[in-house]
Amino acid sequence: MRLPKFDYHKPGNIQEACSILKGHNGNARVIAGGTDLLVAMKHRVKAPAHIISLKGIKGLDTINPSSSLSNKDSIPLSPPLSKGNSGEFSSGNDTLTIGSLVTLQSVADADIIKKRFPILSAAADSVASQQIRNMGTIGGNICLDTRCWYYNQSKEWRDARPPCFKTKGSVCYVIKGGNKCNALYASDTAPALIALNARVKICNSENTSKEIPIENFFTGVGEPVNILKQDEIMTQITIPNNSSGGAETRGAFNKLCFREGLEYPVINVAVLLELNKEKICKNAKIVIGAVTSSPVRAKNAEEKLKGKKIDEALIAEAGKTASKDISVIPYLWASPGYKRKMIEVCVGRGIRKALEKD
Amino acid sequence: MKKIINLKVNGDIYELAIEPWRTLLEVLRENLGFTGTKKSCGLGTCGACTVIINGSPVLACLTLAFEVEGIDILTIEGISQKGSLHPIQESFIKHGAIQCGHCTPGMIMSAKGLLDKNPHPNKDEIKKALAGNFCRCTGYKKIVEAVEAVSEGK
Repeated sequence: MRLPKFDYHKPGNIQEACSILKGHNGNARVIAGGTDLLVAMKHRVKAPAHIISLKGIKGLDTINPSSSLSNKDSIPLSPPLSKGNSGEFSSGNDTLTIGSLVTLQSVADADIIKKRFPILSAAADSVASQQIRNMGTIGGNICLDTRCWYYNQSKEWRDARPPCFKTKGSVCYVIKGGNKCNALYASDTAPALIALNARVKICNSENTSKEIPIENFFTGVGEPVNILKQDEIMTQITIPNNSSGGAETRGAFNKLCFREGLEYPVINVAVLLELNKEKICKNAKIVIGAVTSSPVRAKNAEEKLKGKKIDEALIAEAGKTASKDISVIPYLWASPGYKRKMIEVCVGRGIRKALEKD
Repeated sequence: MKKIINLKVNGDIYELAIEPWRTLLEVLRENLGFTGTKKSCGLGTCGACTVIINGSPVLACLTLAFEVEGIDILTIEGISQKGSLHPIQESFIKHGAIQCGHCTPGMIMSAKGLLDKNPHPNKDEIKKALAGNFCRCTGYKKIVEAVEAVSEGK
């Protein structure tokens, strides 16, 4: 399949890239690894007249163990340097920033991420195949488009019926009579990053930027997937130091697929637990991906675990609560009933795996 | 609009006038005649078009030629030296790891990417590295054995 025609831009800095985006008024797209966008373009579900490459912008492909606000050119993977950017994180004094162009394989392999944020390393390592991890970036994985049986199809296939919400139409084929797009968001790194309290930096064409919790980055509907405006680009991810006040942080990432490689998740779960010396759970985060149009936190299940010593009965209860709270989107290859059951199973597996590391 | 770019393939530099929407796979096969790199799905699923860029196996069908200007590109044609096959190629022949042959160049490039990074992988690591390469003859067993043999120096 050939790509549709487009003009190619390779700006040298972020502001220029944002300005080109703004200048083309929705008819331009940013390309990082290209493994998601180019497939959509070959299927003609997207046909932007302008492609803006971020490869010419320096500093987007480094992993940096301190706040990059003050330290632009620091060497990747150097020891922690500064005290972090603010008191906003409970006790975080050594944050980690990851440029949005760092490839998924580099995220998976980086020693500092393996050591401090193993659930992110595991999530990145579980994406697709070796080749796609070498190309795809963490920024691209967060900005991943939602997927749907009725959308990720060839042009001929889609042309047989009126366009859906995802393709600027006004019908949803997944939920009959639905008034919004119900495509699934299947990123593996996003649930892990939400569990880790990560924040994302967004730059715009006016040369200003903001940092928001990654949890607020998603709209919750299939289209548009995230809150990025037409002239905005997500440039970096910051992970705070999650261990606080003598408590021990433990995590697990767990992905259910129909085969082991090159597959989108049926469901993925990221769990982060803070345990004190008496093994009492001080804090818990459970984030579930691939069952709705954005990753969702199982907040009631988290509450069940807090302040208690976790045992099998509590794990089962947390799993049931999570499953009850999330309204999954029905799909052809995994029925809602199956998905609800698997939420229960995978949440349980996640908590057990997190507790295991003694 | 066409633009002139320089591609560095297997150590040689080629000057080409191409459009921005041409993929590396199209340019390798159609402009430069490197037809060893195969085209199958064109959507990043099958791995037949795997080439090594900057030491890492990637998919040529999802790489814009413009994006790899001046970067080292290694194709299946470039891994044999002075007329003798690469040890992975020898091993594939020895173990009968080739049936129709269409997936073979991609398999070999993925295997090379793994062995360059990790010279002695175990079976699971080999399977994981080759997960992005489809063999529709389903000859996976012999392919994994061939890569295992190289890692064991047999």
